[in-house]
Formats: sequence, structure tokens, C-alpha cells
Amino acid sequence: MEMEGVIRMKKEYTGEILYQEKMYEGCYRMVIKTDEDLLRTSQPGQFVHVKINQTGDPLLRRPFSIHRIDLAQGTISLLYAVVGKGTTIMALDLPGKKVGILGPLGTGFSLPDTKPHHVVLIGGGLGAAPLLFTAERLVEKDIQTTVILGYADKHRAMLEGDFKRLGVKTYISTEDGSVGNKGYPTEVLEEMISSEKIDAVLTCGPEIMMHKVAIICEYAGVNAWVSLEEKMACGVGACLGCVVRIRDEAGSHYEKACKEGPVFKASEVIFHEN
Amino acid sequence: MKTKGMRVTIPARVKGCKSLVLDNPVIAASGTFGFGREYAEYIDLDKLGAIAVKGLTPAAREGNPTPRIVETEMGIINSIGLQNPGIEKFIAEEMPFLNQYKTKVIANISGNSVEEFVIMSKRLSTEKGVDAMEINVSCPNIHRGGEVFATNPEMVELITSAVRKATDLPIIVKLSPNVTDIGYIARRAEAGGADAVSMINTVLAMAIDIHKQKPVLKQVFGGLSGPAIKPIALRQVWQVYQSVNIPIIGMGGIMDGDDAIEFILAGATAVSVGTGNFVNPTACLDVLQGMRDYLENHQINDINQLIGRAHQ
Ligand SMILES: Cc1cc2nc3c(=O)[nH]c(=O)nc-3n(C[C@H](O)[C@H](O)[C@H](O)COP(=O)(O)OP(=O)(O)OC[C@H]3O[C@@H](n4cnc5c(N)ncnc54)[C@H](O)[C@@H]3O)c2cc1C
Ligand SMILES: Cc1cc2nc3c(=O)[nH]c(=O)nc-3n(C[C@H](O)[C@H](O)[C@H](O)COP(=O)(O)O)c2cc1C
Ligand code: FES
Repeated sequence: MEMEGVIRMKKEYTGEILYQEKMYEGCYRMVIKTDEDLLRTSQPGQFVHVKINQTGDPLLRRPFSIHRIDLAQGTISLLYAVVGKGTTIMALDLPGKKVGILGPLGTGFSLPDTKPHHVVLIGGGLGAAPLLFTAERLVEKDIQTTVILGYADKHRAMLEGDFKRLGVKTYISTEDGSVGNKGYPTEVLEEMISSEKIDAVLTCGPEIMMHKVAIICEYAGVNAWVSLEEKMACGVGACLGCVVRIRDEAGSHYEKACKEGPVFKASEVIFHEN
Repeated sequence: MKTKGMRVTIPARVKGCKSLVLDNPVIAASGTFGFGREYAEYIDLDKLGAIAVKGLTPAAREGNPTPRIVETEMGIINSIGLQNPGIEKFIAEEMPFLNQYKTKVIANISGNSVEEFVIMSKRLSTEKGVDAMEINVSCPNIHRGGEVFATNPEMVELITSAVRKATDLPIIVKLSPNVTDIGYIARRAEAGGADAVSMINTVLAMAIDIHKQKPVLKQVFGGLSGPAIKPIALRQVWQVYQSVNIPIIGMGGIMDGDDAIEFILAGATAVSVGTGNFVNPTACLDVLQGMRDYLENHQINDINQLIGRAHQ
């Protein structure tokens, strides 16, 4: 139909799994060949909603952060951990399998345009997934970027090489100290924030870590953005399943992680108590 | 594509009241389609028979705490808790958008009392673009109201007849499956003046997280929807078809055209697609196309010929 402000129709894209790379037991990087439209419109921090099987089981799509976009190869990469039914199936998927992809969805990180800028990325575990794509775009914009990655142990410490290849200063910390600094990535941030000029902090990982990042940045007067996770059904803003609490003058209200998020300004998020 | 063989009607039972004529029998189910905006990016809303909007209440409701959604075997359990902007904001902010389309709009309303249903019906009847009222007596998420009304035949009749006096729009009463004798409840809705019944709403259910050893949903219980409930929905549509003389809008796990045809054969005049939209944003139109294909393959030129045919 004819309407003012023409709506650009969105659609499901087909993807074909090219290959998977095992990062460690139970964690894989899936590289999918797909439509250029999807690749060109994707922004760091956005996600895709993936239909794993055409059989209707699992029923719902599964949301994954955009881990990498490779325009030359025509691929999108997802980095995922096996945690349940859908991801178990994905881990067994062979090259050539077709998947249905909705996306890019949601609101991603707002990357600064002007220099001088120093942006710090902090990832915990699988939360590192969207940060590689983010770092790539920041480097393209010639923005000074530092990444701090936190993992449980050496066995799970991944992506160091990927970030270093971009020329990004990379810090690794592990809880057991088996590689990098012993402790949490937030400890590295705390030290850095008191000694270096930081203009923005972007973080994705366990909520408890992001909450800590929010507090550190608030205290230091540095703008921070967090990427939240909620259970999703539709992924497009219709079901109201994925709401998160956002502060406002009147107190707080719900916003949709799939539409207004998953990235929110850290100071506006009301984190779950736990 | 011709729409002739697809047109279905819910005729007004009372003189002077309005009928609901749908260009095709596929309706987007309430609560699964927002106010149409999100899916307008994926499909042409004008190709739908109608949109049943998210359940409305007199004042804004913020809904339940999360987790609100969990997937179970071939279904999902939700406890959204009727999050909605309230009826005035709906009229001011959502109706202008919907009025850009010619597709029919069904206002789904939920009240905590008979008066609330009456107030909302009166208000919506004066609004341009609202084509029918769907009375949600069956949402299992509201502790006061919802559950009590839906399972209480007297209340169902009372609300329906009160709304009948308040509006000249077609009245659709949405039935809950969580009752002992759904045929009897449907008869009381019919007695109250309903022009149609829509069914089924979600099936009361729960899931438990064995790692946390706690219910998954914050509200403990929620409503099950999707393919898992289709056999229950079909059975109840069948029963209600044998109990009342008003049209039935059938729903519950419809994912494709064949599913929809099952409901029509069981006695539904029209169908709604709910959870299917979450899986495929184009689900409603895929269902419609599948229905057309079925008619073509079986050389049937009007969907109306199929309604309740499995009973013969
Ligand atoms: C915006 C967003 C981005 C994400 N990005 C990544 C990523 O890059 N890598 C990664 O490994 N995981 C990511 N996740 C989490 C990922 O979606 C879940 O781990 C995955 O859906 C689990 O599916 P499953 O079938 O294996 O698990 P099941 O537990 O069997 O899934 C059942 C249902 O719960 C939902 N669900 C389960 N866990 C989560 C969760 N943590 N968050 C949201 N929904 C969940 C699923 O979507 C599904 O509907 C992301 C989640 C969101 C919301
Ligand atoms: C997330 C969600 C929200 C819903 N909200 C409403 C609502 O506000 N009012 C209503 O009458 N039904 C609501 N329903 C019920 C659906 O309209 C429909 O009756 C039910 O989901 C069965 O159809 P399905 O299996 O195709 O989803 C909701 C269902 C879901 C899944
Ligand atoms: S997942 Fe449906 S509204 Fe966000």
C-alpha cells in the first residue's frame, strides 16, 4: 500500500553454513554465507534471530549477537555456547545446511564518530561475541580501542589473537589465573579508568559483570553501554516477552531488549538483584 | 489472487448492529501481533483478514516481571500479564497507524469488572476504525478478573449482555480452554448476545528449571500456546460447533494452511495465527496461501463450503 515515509520491507534471509570452528569443548564459531543486504545493514551490538531447523523443533528462533561480518567472503559469524536444545543441534550442524535468519535486529552500540576518542570494550565469556565486530568497526573509524576479556580459565580464553590481529590493545583475565591477570575483567577496568583517559565503555557478558562495569563507570563519570539478554520469542517487538527495566523521571518502565535494546545506556538500566 | 472464495462473515444477530465481513479468514491473534507496527515491516497488513490487537485495559498496565516466556515441547508458555498502554493511548497513538490500512481491526479488551468491559466497549465504539470487540474473559494471567470470569458461566453471559447494550459493534467472546464444559460456556456467551466466539486462549501450564529447582516463569504459571495445544483446541472447536449456532474463530497452534483447514473442517468460520508469527513474521500470509492451495487442489471454490464439514 502507499504510505507516507515509505516502509522498507524486511524479510527472512537464507543462510548456508560454510563451516564451524571449535573454540573449546561446547563453544563454536559458525560461519554462514548469506545475503549481502543483511551483511551491509548490520551494526555492532545488533543480533540475528536464527531458525535452526525447518521442522518446527525447536519451535522458536534463537537470538545470537553478530560476531563478525565479512563482506568480502559474504559471511556472518556467530559465536555460541552449547546450553540447551537449539545450540546442541547447531553444534552438530554440518556445512551446507540452510538456516533462516531474521536481522539485523535491535539497537546496537552507538559508536563515536569524532576523534580523539578512546573506547574500551569489556567482555565476559560469550559476551566477547559482539565485541569483535564492534572492535573491527572502531578500528575502521581509526578510534583508539582497548579490549578487556574475562574468562573462567585458560581453556576458555579465546579470541585474543582475533583482537590482536586488528591491532587492538588486548587484556585477558581469568578467574583462576591460568592465563593473563588473575581475577575479573572489571578489576582491569578499575585500574585503567583511574590512570587513562577513557571516553566510552561498551560491555557484554554476565549481568553481574555488566552491573559492576556500570557502577565503576558511573563513579568515574564515563559513559557506558551494556548489552542485555532476555528470553525472546518474536525478536521483533511484538510479544513483549523480553522486557528490561529502564530508569526514567517517574521511576522506571519496561523497554524491549529486542527492539530498544539489546544495548542500553548503563546508567539507565535497573539490573536484577543477584 | 482472488478474494471471492475467501470472504467470510460474522453476521450481526441484532437488528441495527454491525456485521463483521472479512476479505479472508486469517486473523492475527491478540497479543502476538502488537498493534501491527512490527509486522508491517515484514508483510502487507492489508492482506490480512483482520488484526486482533494486544489485549487492552482501561488504564496502562506494565505487565509481569520476567522471565515471561519459556519454550516447552512444541509450544511456549507466556505470562506477559497484559502489558498495554491503556485504551486512551491506544486510541491516540495506535489507531491512526492502523487506520492507514483497510484491514479490519478487532479490539481485544480485558476488564476486572463488568463496568470496565462496558466503559471500554462504549469508548471504542465511538472510534473510527474499530470493527469488532473481542471480549477476553479468558486471559489466565490476571488473578482478579480473568480466570474467574472465564470459568463462571453466569459471569460470561452477564459481561456479554452488558457489552451488547454498550456497543453496536460485532461482539466476539474469547473462550478459555481451562474449563470443564466449554460448550456450555459458549452457549451462555451466545445467550448473552455474542455474535461469535473465538477460541482457544492459552492453556494454563508451567515449567520448572531443574538446575535452579524453581519454576521458570516468575509468575509460576503461564499460558501454553503453539502446536502443543492444537489437538486440544480442535477438540474444543468441535464441541462448541455442536453447542452453538454462532460462528467460531478457531486458533491454537496454527502454523500452516493445513492446520487452518483442520479448524475450518472442525467448525471454525475463521482462524487466528498467534505463536506462528513469532516463528515466521510472514506466518499469517503463509497460512492464507496454504488455505488457498488446499481449496485449489480440492477444487473447492468457496471456503464457506468447508466450515464444519468433518461433522457430516
Ligand atoms: C540479544 C541476544 C544475543 C545473544 N547472543 C549470544 C551469542 O552471541 N552467543 C551465545 O552463545 N548466546 C547468545 N545469546 C543467548 C542465546 O540466545 C541462548 O543461549 C540460546 O537461545 C539458547 O538456546 P538453546 O535452545 O540451546 O537453549 P534452551 O534453554 O533450550 O532455549 C529455550 C528458550 O530459551 C531462550 N533462551 C535460553 N537461554 C537464553 C538466553 N541466555 N538469552 C535469551 N534467550 C535464551 C531461547 O531463545 C529459547 O527460546 C544471546 C541472547 C540474546 C537475547
Ligand atoms: C505472548 C502472547 C500474548 C497473548 N496475549 C493475549 C491477549 O492480550 N489477549 C488475548 O485474548 N489473548 C492473548 N494471547 C492468546 C492468543 O491470542 C491465542 O489465543 C493463543 O496464543 C493460541 O493461539 P496460538 O497457539 O496460535 O498462539 C496471547 C498469546 C501469546 C503467546
Ligand atoms: S522478543 Fe518479542 S518483544 Fe522482544
